[in-house]
Amino acid sequence: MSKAISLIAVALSLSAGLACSDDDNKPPASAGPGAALKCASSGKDAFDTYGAPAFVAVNEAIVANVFAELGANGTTNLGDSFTKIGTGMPPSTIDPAPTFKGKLAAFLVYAYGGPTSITYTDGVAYSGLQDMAAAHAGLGISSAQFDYFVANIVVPALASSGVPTADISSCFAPVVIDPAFKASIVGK
Amino acid sequence: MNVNARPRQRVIVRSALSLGGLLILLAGVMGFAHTRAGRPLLALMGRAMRPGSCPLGYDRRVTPAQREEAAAGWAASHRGTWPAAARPALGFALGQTRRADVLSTLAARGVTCAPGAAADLVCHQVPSTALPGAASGPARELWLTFGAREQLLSLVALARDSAPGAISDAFGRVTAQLTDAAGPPTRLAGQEGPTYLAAAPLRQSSAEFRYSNYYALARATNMGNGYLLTEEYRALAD
Repeated sequence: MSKAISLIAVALSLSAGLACSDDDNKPPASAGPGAALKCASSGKDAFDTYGAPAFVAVNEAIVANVFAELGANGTTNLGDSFTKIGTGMPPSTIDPAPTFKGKLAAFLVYAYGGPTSITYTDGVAYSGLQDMAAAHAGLGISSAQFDYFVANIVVPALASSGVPTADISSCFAPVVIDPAFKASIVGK
Repeated sequence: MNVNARPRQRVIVRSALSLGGLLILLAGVMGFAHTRAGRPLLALMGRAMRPGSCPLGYDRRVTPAQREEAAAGWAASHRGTWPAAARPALGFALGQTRRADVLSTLAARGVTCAPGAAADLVCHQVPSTALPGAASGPARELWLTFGAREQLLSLVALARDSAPGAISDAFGRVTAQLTDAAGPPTRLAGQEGPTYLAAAPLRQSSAEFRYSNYYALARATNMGNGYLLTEEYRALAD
């Protein structure tokens, strides 16, 4: 009897885990959308210009800005999507905070001309090939919240990490302000 | 004695296995309930508390008291040295204006607000004329946060326009108004003027005002397909 119970439990746990792993089975793409962009300062794409350490710094700055914002205003300005990280409600938020951070870094690296996968500071390998619509499913992020995030979290994170204004505009901005990118995140 | 020991051991082992199995089953059920397929089960489990909610409370919103505590932590790292001469917030009094006052003030000017999915109160398309202390500019979306006594803790306003001049001019007026009322900005970035803002995507002009009892920020951003003005007004508790 107890063996049967254990088997059912393991089966249910596995089904939960599989149901929540969403985005690692995509066919690999050769380069992210930012690979074709050239930074004003270097004439190269953002990853080639700044390298992995800078992307780690920007990623950490984005996460720090988000948590500073949540500390100041709770969910008022960014919505409650970040507070759901690790809860699995909705299922797109199943990743715990360290995994979320690693995936965000991998996405940024890939999107801006870097490799399709990275090993982040926690020693874990993450794929940058992520389906943004699936990653934001059920979060109900509004257009205004997206704008607030870009203008008041992402741009300050780039600036505070030492990216000059001209490079923010030339080799980072086009990916972020692409209407298709915004549409893949807002209202899901 | 030896004759009775084996059956007793067997009972203990079976009990332990059953208990372990039940715990694993419970973990499995909870994990399944948090998947898309398991949402009806989650709703069923949460019915005794809140329908459709997580029985473990992961999706519970923070209370106003918790928000005040968190805001105090943020204030510690964003506080300036001197108190502001005044704490302007689009005509509302930070730390004093109550939720009901905001609602009645705006309702009298034809603006309706509603609790937001995340914000305490969200007001859409608020014209400058509806805000007694606001600099003129495009209509704003307001996000308001209140504390445990329903007092206004923070106010964020977003305004969008397709013309760089509209946002750049509004940014200039907001910055001038804050300087006159609170004191000079403690940090400036970018340049004022529509030409600078329009030159490239994600160009920004910002003015930050850090005082011991007050924080304000004005920021104009080129969003690629339009221009965004962000205003933030926050009371910093002692």
